[in-house]
Amino acid sequence: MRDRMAAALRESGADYAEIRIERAEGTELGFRGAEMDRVSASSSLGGVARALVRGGWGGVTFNDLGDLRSRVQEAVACARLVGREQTEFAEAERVEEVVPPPPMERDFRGVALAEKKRVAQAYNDLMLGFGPKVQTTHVSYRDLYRQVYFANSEGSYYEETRPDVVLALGAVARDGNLVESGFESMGRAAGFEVAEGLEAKAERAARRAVDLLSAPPVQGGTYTVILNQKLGGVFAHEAFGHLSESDFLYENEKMRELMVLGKRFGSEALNIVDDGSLPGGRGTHPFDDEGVRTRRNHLIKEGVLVGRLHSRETAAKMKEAVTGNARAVGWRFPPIVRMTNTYVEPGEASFEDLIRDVKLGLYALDMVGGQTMMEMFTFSAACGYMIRDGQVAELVRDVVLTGNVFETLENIDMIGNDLAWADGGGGCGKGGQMPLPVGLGSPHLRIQRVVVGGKQ
Amino acid sequence: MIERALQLAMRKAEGAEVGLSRGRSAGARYEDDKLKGVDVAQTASLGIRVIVDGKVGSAHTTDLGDIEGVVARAAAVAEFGSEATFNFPGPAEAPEVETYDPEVERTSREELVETGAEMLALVKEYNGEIKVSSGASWHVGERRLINSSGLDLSKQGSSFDVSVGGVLIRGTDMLMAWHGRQWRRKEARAREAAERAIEKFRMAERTAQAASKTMPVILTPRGTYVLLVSLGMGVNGKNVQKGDSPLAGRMGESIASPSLTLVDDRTVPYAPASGSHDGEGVPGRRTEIISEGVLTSFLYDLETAGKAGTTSTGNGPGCYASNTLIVPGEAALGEMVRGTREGLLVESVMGLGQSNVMNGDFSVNVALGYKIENGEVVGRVKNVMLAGNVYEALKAVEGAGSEAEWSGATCAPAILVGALSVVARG
Repeated sequence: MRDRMAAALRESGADYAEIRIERAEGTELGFRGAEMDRVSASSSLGGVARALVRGGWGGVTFNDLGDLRSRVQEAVACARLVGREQTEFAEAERVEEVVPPPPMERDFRGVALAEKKRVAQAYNDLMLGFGPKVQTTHVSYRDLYRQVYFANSEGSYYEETRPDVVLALGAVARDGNLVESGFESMGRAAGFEVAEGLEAKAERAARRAVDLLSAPPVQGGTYTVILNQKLGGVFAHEAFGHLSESDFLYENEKMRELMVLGKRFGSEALNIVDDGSLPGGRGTHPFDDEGVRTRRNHLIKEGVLVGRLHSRETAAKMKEAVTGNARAVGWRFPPIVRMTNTYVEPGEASFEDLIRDVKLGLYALDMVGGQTMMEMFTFSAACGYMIRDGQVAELVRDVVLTGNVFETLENIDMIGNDLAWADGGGGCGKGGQMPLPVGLGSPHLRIQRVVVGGKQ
Repeated sequence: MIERALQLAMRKAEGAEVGLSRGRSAGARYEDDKLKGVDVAQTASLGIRVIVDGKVGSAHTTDLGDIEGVVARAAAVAEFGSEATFNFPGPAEAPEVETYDPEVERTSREELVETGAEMLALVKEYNGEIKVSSGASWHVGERRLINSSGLDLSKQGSSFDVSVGGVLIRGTDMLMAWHGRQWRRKEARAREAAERAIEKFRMAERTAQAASKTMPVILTPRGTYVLLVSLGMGVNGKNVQKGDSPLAGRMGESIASPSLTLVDDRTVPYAPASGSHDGEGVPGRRTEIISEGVLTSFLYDLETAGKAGTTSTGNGPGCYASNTLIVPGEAALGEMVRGTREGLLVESVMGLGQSNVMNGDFSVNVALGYKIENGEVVGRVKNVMLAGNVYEALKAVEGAGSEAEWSGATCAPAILVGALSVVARG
């Protein structure tokens, strides 16, 4: 593959060109209620060629690998329609590596479909049998074995194997017209072994669904809110992380003024990092999809904005160093600036310290989802507990938090000492590319004056 | 190739279906006032479904060199598949539905680049401070579907898309607005899309405060998706069959205001989800889902219909809606606004899908919405949430607007909901 790719890229006429080819195979099955209602096997083969000419990009997506050279030439022709200025593209180390696959105790390609079904069914039965109020369940198992081949016109080449196993466990409980759900998931770049032994998660999902039936909706209003680790991780990713993606910034002076390096965003205790090289992270890869080696990048250090995430193009245009954050979700797409493993570094406070002096507040747990539109964010906690007189009090449902990210970061007044990573199987979406596996981590965070939506 | 896949499959299977799709596309995209890229694609994929020992299996590939593999995987999967409650359909009478316009593919890359530039220039002309993004693209494809009941369908489809929008930053305030149009026929819609995007920016030039209370909310044609996402799940025959839909068992009941009629229609010429057949080869049709507030039909595919003892409504596979139409009412949007003393006009929300969508619950941030005071739009609202339940809101609908508008595969007028809970930052 390497020689064919290199030959196709030779003397392309572009300032820069690359080819990424992917071969993938996977299985997927799902239970809904007692029955397995979905099972399929898929395979794919395809590639994308990109060319950069005088600052403009051309791209060609294909799945017939027959004539790679003409694909590259077509990408160059497209780029010529676009390029009108000088190419600015940051230098990157030339890489040459065949990355060994991550350790898989049990390669899922060798596990019989019958066993995959049995494992998923056991979780499903556990949730269905949790209690009479459990009305239905959703369990899905998915595995994908993805092989990526990358070559560029500068002579870089890598091959990487990216296995991914995802298990999602959902329970729905009903009491009259009231329907509540509980959800847990697991996603890892590993073998089938990580799909086993998740009974505690299944039980937690079912228990949450049932418990929420007797929980009142949270009263809408403004509260002191403590986010648990999973929700803190979503907040760091959704509300702040996306604004650090330089493709939003580099040609937008006003955004750059808002995100100017050196600006204070929070208290001295606040540190936010994105690290694509972190061993074992869900967003970990040795190289990004432009062949740049991943690394640890501080975004906020001691409350001050110190860095952001780059592709080679955005790094050059903003005259900053590459960060290894150009990622693509698959062969149908060019790489764009994305997060890898994003986390809030732990502080000093114990959970007791965070909650002690909160008279009336909300302890918000886990995530159902999160979304941002520029500085505005909305994220849904799976559930919450009211905090009354410094104690965790009753369970409440329908907890949706909203606000302005700049104000909210400033309002983080205490940071826990208990960093934890969400092991969920979800992924990030941007520019039509999803789900991209990302890591989300945080300690408990306390935030003042958060708007909580709810029925009044 | 496709015949060979069917022959191979039928060595083991009682029934089989093979679909082969080939597509080509081209597009130009502008971001932050600049032409960023021109992209083209040439892709193909093959999907197969088999019935082996009374059970269904499926497999899919984009590697057309691996026909044996995909057939073998479908057969292997069938051992664990659901019971086949249907037969693949044979040839049948189907409506003629226009889905292909040869002009689409004749559009050069250069013209796409020019169309994007034209939209961008119009928005910049209104306000040079707006960072504008725009795009023009087309997609054409051929799909052939054959099955063991003698069906052999070939169809061509095309799609021409334009979109334009931008972000306006003032201090820490960021306003995003956009407008897009997707249609199977090439139409000159660039100027219109830009004008619609400009209109949204213009209405947001001023800001207004909303108080936390229950008030009337007018959903713009695009804003109706707040209601339609849950409703689409609720009328999905599979969700009904599983008992997950709150509409299960309520056929014939009044579930919405009499001013609401909702239709699924695959036969609209050139609409985004139109076709003479669905993905399983069942003829496309028009199905009234809600008639003047009364629930009249769910949407079915072959498998779900087989289990329910009914016939497919041509919404396979998956029981998903094709084109969703809300039948327009009497009042123009302007009249609805003039008749509102205090309320909101909502164009888009974010966070939909984070509450219990199946149950109809929503608690969403208003991404682009306007305050109405004494019959006039007075400005854009910020930091405001809408909370409620779709099925309660449907009963509180007080009227549908007179002008329906396409957005993706939905054609809806504005909808006035008499009372919704609005939560503002206090």
